[in-house]
Amino acid sequence: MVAVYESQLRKGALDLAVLALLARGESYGYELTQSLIDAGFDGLGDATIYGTMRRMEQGGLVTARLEPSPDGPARKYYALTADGKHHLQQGAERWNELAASMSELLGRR
Amino acid sequence: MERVGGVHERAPGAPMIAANGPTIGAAGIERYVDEIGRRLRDLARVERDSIAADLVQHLHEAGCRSFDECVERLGAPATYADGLREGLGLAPFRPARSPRIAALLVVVVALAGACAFWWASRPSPVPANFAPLQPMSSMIAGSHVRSAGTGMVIELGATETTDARLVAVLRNDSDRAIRVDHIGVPLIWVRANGTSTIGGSADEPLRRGEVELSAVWTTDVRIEPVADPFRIETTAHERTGAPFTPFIWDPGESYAISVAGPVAACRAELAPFDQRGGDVQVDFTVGNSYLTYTIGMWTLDTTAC
Repeated sequence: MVAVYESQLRKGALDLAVLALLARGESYGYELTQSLIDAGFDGLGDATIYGTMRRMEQGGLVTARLEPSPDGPARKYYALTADGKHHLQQGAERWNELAASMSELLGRR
Repeated sequence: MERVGGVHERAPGAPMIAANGPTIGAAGIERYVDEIGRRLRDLARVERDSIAADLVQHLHEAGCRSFDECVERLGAPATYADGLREGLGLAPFRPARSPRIAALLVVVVALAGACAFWWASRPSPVPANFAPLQPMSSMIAGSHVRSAGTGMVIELGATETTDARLVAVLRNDSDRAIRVDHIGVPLIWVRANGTSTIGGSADEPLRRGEVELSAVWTTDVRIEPVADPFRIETTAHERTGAPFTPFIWDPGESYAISVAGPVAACRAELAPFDQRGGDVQVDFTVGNSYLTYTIGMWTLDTTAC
């Protein structure tokens, strides 16, 4: 039950987390996945992250470009669009409000 | 710098391989992507092909070189497809029914429909002793009117020159509509002082059902709907000779059935009668069953001939 709850919590925050990571600078799929895992999103699979990136790309929140890699295959780099930055800003505000509300609720126990 | 992520067309049946990605000859990756594609087949083809092309690039980037490598790194294609759908914001994949199952379902539904049609149109079983028509208490104005204990009214007439009349008020007390095909009076039977006076003799009394009423009477049968059995006013029979028209007798409806005709041999000197009456026979159908319903119209009242 706890695992399911945590999984759902992470999925709900995934979009915002990806936007936040890309706000630091463009990144490619594998690097993004590793960064997300480091941030505690280790329960999410590559497929979910990849699907999320594709959806965000189609939604105009991120843009992608292919760049040849000296180590092997070409890498697909993602970067935030203006829409994505706006989305991130709004999402961050909502998240902070929610986090504050939740902290207050949990503090009253 | 190359912009990627566009839509890539591929010929129907062609493997899902990137159009602008690196040329990956590994059939294993194609297989992996194709198996994922099968769980995306509810999407538009253009969208599916676009995902496939993008996916090949992604798998290559993830270091997959063969089907087994993909499975080892990313999980089974079905699992990967489920995660991909989740990331894309799609509902979980529900495998469509195969054409064979769909055809089977059509056959089953058709058979069920045929069975339902047969069931609805089959001859309706009529319970044993089904007696939908029940006599009602009634009253008819007139000097010769008597109400029998059964609730049926009999007016048995008078002389050779005047009509005898039998009236029965019946109601359909069943829950089924009845199609009335025929109403007839097969025999009128009057006995006075032990002597049959119509169509028979003391030595050879008529037995009910032997003689058609028409042989004795010039009959006239009239059917009149009845709203209130206590307010019946039967009109004079005109003997139009019009053929009987079958009709539907709905549940709860009441009709007065009256039969009138001159009595052939009602002799005053034989009065008083100790019993009089006759049968009204109603032939009707219920559903597909044809029944004959005989209503006895009897009274113990005596009326001078």
